[in-house]
This record gives sequence, structure tokens and C-alpha cells, in this order.
Amino acid sequence: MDGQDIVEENFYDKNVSNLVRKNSIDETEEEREIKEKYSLKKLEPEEKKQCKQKIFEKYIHRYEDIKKDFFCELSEKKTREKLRQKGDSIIRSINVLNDLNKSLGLLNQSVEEWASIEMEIEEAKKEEELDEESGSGALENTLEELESLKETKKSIEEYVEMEMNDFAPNISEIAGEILGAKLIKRAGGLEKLAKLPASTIQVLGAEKAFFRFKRKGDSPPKHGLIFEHPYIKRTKYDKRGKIARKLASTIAIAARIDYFSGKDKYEGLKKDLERRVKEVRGN
Amino acid sequence: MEINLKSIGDGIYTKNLDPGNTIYGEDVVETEDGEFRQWDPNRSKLAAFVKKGLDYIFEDQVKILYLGAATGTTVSHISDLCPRGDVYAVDYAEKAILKLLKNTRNRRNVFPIYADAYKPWKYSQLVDQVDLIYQDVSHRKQTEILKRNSSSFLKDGGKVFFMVKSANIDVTEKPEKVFEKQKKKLKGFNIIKEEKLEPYHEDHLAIFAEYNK
Repeated sequence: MDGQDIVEENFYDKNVSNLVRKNSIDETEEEREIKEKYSLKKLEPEEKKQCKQKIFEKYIHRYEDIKKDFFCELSEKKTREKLRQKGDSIIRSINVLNDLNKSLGLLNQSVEEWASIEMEIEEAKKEEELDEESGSGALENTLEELESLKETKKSIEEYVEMEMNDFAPNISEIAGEILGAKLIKRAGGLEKLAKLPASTIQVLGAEKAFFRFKRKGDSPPKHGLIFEHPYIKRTKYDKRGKIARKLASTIAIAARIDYFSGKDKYEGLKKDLERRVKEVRGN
Repeated sequence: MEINLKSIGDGIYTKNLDPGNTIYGEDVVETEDGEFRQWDPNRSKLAAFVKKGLDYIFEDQVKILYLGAATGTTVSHISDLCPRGDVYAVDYAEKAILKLLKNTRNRRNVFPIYADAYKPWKYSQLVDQVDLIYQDVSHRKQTEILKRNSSSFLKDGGKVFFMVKSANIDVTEKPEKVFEKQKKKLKGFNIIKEEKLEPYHEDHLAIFAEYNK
């Protein structure tokens, strides 16, 4: 039995006893009467048989209902728990955020081109002093939509930040909420991220470059997704590798703390990381 | 033929245990015996097996362990066929289980279990001895899953429906070879009937067998 099994078993025991307590049978007056009558054993055989049948029918029906409810509740609880454990809502929202980023990039470019051409036409018209109503408002609508998409992006980011602070406080503090969420998504869940070695976390998201290095012997990538982190982004090119290594190992430790204990223990990690960054940048 | 199973025209239909509701937008026919739902052989492997000549009648109070329930297409039809039986539906995909729960909410004989079919000891507290195991898990170790569950839950002389998908086990090998290999692994199972499910499902073999401990 591994650690995960034990966690699951405990969860299981707790919930089963709760459910049983919740669903335990309360006797009604009638049922108690039947029971008392039955226990007196002064009944005629025929009457006794009827009584038995009555009790059986009453209870078998209820038993089946309780059983169904019990299974449904248990499965639903376990499933939801598992989804929460996996960080499902975070992974899904970060997927949306990625797509949104991509489409915003595309849209920005094409809308900008369109707008600039439209402006030229407008100006040409003004010079000829034509008083026609220009356009159908399509461009204005598009621009409005673009703005609202940017708002949406902001709100999703806020949501991810909130969820991440609750779900993985240590990763959030070390890597930042959005980057942390991206790492979790790339690894396929917090559990998997916690089980990855730091060197893999370092090049997570740069698989293409990494396998090119493996196959053809090109230079290995220094960083993948973690490039987004200001510590790497804002360091000189030739020193990024050292900081990427330190950052990745710190994230790996943070992920393990988040997965196995969930307590906020980032103070020491953060200090250590900052010291190393200063040291590397200093020379 | 069972009363709960009817063939009308080309299709086969099962009596709806949850009248007024359908699972996947299937056809519904009103008859004098009640509401019947169409059982699509293109979606359900058991329906394809029946279409191909399987003659099996579910007992009244049969207990079934269904592995790989997914969203409950076939499960719902089996629950139609044995209204007084028990169907324990196991699956390990979160999304599928949530859908299954929703789909079978009104079916009192279906009991969804969220668990890994490869680890039967994890749900051994929940399942009785069963009369029948239906195994349709998309897993490389399909046969091993069947054997483990049979030895844990299936009574002596119990029946097994086993749907082998060759692509699950080895994509590179020819389906016939994969089927032969899997059948060799089925020690303790007496194969009563086997049928390839073409044209409804490609590279699938349906096996109906009896289990002797």
C-alpha cells in the first residue's frame, strides 16, 4: 500500500461512517408496533407470517433506497475530492487563459491592420469633403469586443490567483500563481508535479528544444515555462541558466510541500532563493 | 425472448425503467407494454452481440458487476433488462462518473462506484458476490482486470461478458493474433460463445463465458 492508498482509505472510512449515521433508520410508530407485536410471539402462525412479510417489505424497500443514495453520495464525494486534489478547475481555467491569450494576440494584430486601413480611407474621404455616413459600425463593435475580452482575461487571471493561493500556497509564493498553474497543468496535476525531478521542471514547456538536444546534440534548453518568472526574465542572458536551476529546484520542493502537507512553509525557501539570485547577479 | 427486450422492425428495444427520460437521445417507442428505448448496436457492444445472435436472458434478481461503465449507455439498458437486479457500475474517469450519476439517478438498481477496476480490493467492501461480470474497460491489461475481479467477486459457475478491443492491447499486432493470445490467457473460463462485432464495432471480440474456480 503506498501513501496515496492510505490517504484514500482514511477518507473512505470517515465518509462511510458519516453516511451510515445520516441514513440510519428512524422508526415510525407503526413500525415499532409491528416489531413489538412480533417480539411478543403470541401471534397465530398466519398472523406471524403476515407480520414478517410486512416488516420485510417495509425494510427491503427502504434498504434499497438507502443503498442507492449511499452509493451515489459516496461516488460523488470521492469523485469531487479527486477532482479537487488534481486541481481540475485550475487546469481548466488555465487552458482557457492560454487559448484566450493566443486569440488575443491574433486578434490584436488583424484588428490593428484593419483599423489603420480604415483610418486612411476615412482621412481620404475627409479631404474630398464627402459627408457620407461611413462604415456599418463593424470596426467599432470589434474594438469593443476586444476590450471586453481583455477584461475577461483579467477576471480569469484573478480567479486562477485566488484558487492557486488556496490550492498550492507554496508554489504560488515561489513561482507566482499563473506560472504555478501553468506548471501544474503541464505536469498533469499537482501530484505529478510533486513527483517530477527539479531538472524536468526546469525544462517543462521546452520539450521540443530538449529532445532536439537529446537527438541531435544541440545545446540544451536552460529553461521552459519558468522563463516567465521575473528572476529569469530580468537577469542577463549568460546567468539565466544558474538561476533557472535554483528556481526549478525550489519549485520542486514547494510542490512537494503543497502536495504532502499543504502548510505555508515558503519563508525559508524564498530567502534561500533570493540569496542565490543576488549571488549570481552580483558577480 | 424476454419481456423487457423487443425487436421492432430492424432495431432492438428495451423497456424503459425510467420512463420519460433517455440517456443519449435514443429512439423511444410507446407500446401496450410500456415505453421502450432503442438499443443502438453501434453504441453498445452488448447490443451488437445480441444482434449477432447472443441468446441470454438475465435472471430476475441477478447481481452484475459492470466494469468500465463510462457514461452509462449500456448500463442503462442492462438495468432495463433486470429491473429487480443489482448493477454495480465501476469506472475510474471523474467526468464519466459524474455523468453516470446524473444519467442513472432514477434507476434504483444501478450503483455507481468510483474506483480503479485494476485494484478490486479498493471496492471489495461495496460489492457482494455477483452472478455476472461485464467487462468493457479500455485498458492494456483488460484480461488481467477480468481475472482479478472474477476471482474476487464472481461466484463459481458465474457468467462473464468480455469485450476485447485489440487496439487496446497491441495496436501493431493483427487483431486475430491478439484475440488468440487473450483467449489463451483466460484459464478457468469456459467460452460458451464468441463473436466478432463487425460491422458495428471494428476489431472487437465479444466473449461470453462461464467461470469455474
